[in-house]
Amino acid sequence: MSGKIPIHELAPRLRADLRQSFGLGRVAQAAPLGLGIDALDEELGGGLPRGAVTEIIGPAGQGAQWLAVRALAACGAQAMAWVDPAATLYPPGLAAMGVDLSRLLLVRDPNARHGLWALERIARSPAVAVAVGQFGRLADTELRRLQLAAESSGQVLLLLRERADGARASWGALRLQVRAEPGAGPRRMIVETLRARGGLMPRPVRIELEHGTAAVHSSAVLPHRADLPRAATG
Amino acid sequence: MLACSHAAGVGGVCAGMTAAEARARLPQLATTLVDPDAEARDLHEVAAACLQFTPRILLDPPGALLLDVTGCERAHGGLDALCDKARLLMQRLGFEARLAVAETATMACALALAPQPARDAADIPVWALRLPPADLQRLHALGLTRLDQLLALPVATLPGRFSPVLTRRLAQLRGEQPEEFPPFQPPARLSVHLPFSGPTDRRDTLLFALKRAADQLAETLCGLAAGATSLAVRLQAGQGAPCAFELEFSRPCADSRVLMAVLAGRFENIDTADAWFEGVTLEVLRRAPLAAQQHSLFEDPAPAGRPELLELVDELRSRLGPAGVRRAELVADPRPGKAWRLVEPPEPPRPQPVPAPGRPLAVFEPHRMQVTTGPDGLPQVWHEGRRDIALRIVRGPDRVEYGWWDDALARDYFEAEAADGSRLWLYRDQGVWFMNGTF
Repeated sequence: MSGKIPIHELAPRLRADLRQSFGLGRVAQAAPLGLGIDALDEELGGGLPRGAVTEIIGPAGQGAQWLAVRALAACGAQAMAWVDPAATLYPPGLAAMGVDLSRLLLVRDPNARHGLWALERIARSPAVAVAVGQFGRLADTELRRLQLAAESSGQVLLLLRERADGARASWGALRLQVRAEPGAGPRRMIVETLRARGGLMPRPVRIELEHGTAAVHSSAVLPHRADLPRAATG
Repeated sequence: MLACSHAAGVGGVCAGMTAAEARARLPQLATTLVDPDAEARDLHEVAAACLQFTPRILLDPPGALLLDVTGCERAHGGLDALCDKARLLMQRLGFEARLAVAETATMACALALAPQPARDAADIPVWALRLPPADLQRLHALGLTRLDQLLALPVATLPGRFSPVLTRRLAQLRGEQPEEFPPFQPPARLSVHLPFSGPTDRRDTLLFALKRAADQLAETLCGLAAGATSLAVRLQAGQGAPCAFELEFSRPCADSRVLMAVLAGRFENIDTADAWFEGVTLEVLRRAPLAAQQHSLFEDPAPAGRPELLELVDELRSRLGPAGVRRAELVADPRPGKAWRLVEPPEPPRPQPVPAPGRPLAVFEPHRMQVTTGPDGLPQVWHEGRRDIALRIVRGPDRVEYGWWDDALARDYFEAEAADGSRLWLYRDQGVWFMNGTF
């Protein structure tokens, strides 16, 4: 599938036609939530999908959480929620990235069962624009319920996890993996799409932050992993 | 015996018997004692619910309500629509009711009280005119049992023979004299009590009863154009511990769906094992007027999200407890652990201090690190278990020295990048290194 230009142009148009004729428009009816990261927004077709679950996977401190916070900062004056069963979220760090804490509901229940219930209840609420949940592991049925809830409310629902549960198929619309790119200089991370529902696979994106802050300095599209020379994939 | 069911009637029981007499005829007869206080309370509450139709309400104990709906039908989409609504209301409140609409209140009441649907005055018994017992006895002695017989009497002779009430009722029936509607005082305490016919320990039955009670309460609240801000829920136990709790609402609530969502969330956390319950009671402890916009036809879709958000918070709080759902606020304090605090979500936001730069996104319990430091005293390798992880300090030191008067602190904070690119938040305290968070 190495870059045949006609397909690139045709696919979105075809998809729009299909939606119109078969009412498949429930997915991504509303404009996606742009993250203000040019290359990533473009690859994702505008940003994170609304009315869908996006899984963000990556070890702690490598950028997965940074990306989720970035989504909160991007949603502006709308209500947000973060379900944080482990109660590790540090609000001053979020505020420094531009998140309006007065609009962020924090659910800090140590009981994972309640945490999941809370996230599903939040996902059903059209009043909340972006919700984030941090859970170690989710059953397929739970993920499915969250996806349906997000579809009903049009919410951007983010699930943060340290590891992907294998290469299993997922109910989530989008699965991103974020890993840090070590090396001297400013902080860099690579956002790779592991799964995207229906359509072209977005290419990996490298994000470079400004030195000493959490702001984006630049972003660039990388070739698909399969297209990379072996040495580069490590 | 004041009344009996159709089945009991077939069994030979009729009103007017003593209880012993009735039981002798039908041993399996189930009897309930009349509680005039409870009946009066019920009537008062039904009347309060009827305030949604008209403010002019007359209570006629034991079981009649007169509503003056003159001109009110337009607000409800016609007289038929209003009747349908009233019928539905009675159903929801759990009462069997007969409705009649007529030109005068006395006429309507007579029609509603008549045992069969009345076509003319001959079908209406005289007692349907709400007469004093002395008059009824005299009428009975004269053999006058139907309204048409009473109407046939010359009007001029009536005042001498009967009480003034009778002449007034007849005048009111004909519309010659106005009906008095003293101002209706809604009950000060709103509550709904549903007794069960037998004790139960089934949670689904209890939930069903709670839902019915919530429906009834919501109707009454709607009638008063008020919403509950605090609600007491009590389950009467026949055996085991009774169960009672209170619910708080961030905004006046008169929607049974919302009441129930909050109630069910809380009920889920309550252990009712080994208890049998005989009834449920919902009581409004505090109420406030409903915001006028709730019934507005032109609800602005954008700010309408706000009540939805408050409902969400109420529901989350009812299940997770008040500490489970919060909002964060920054505090001007250089100590990272005290630079923020949790507040109640509905609390209005205050101006915030500027957040300190270089703060992590996640903070956990400090974790002591075994490190090898370089000549500059900064860590170069972190010995984590059997692994050696190269570290590179990318920011710091952020010196935090504060509060010798309470919880003294002197630390140097650093941001470090591990070999895999992870960004870690470290601090040095008296020469010992700790990992405290991630970016």
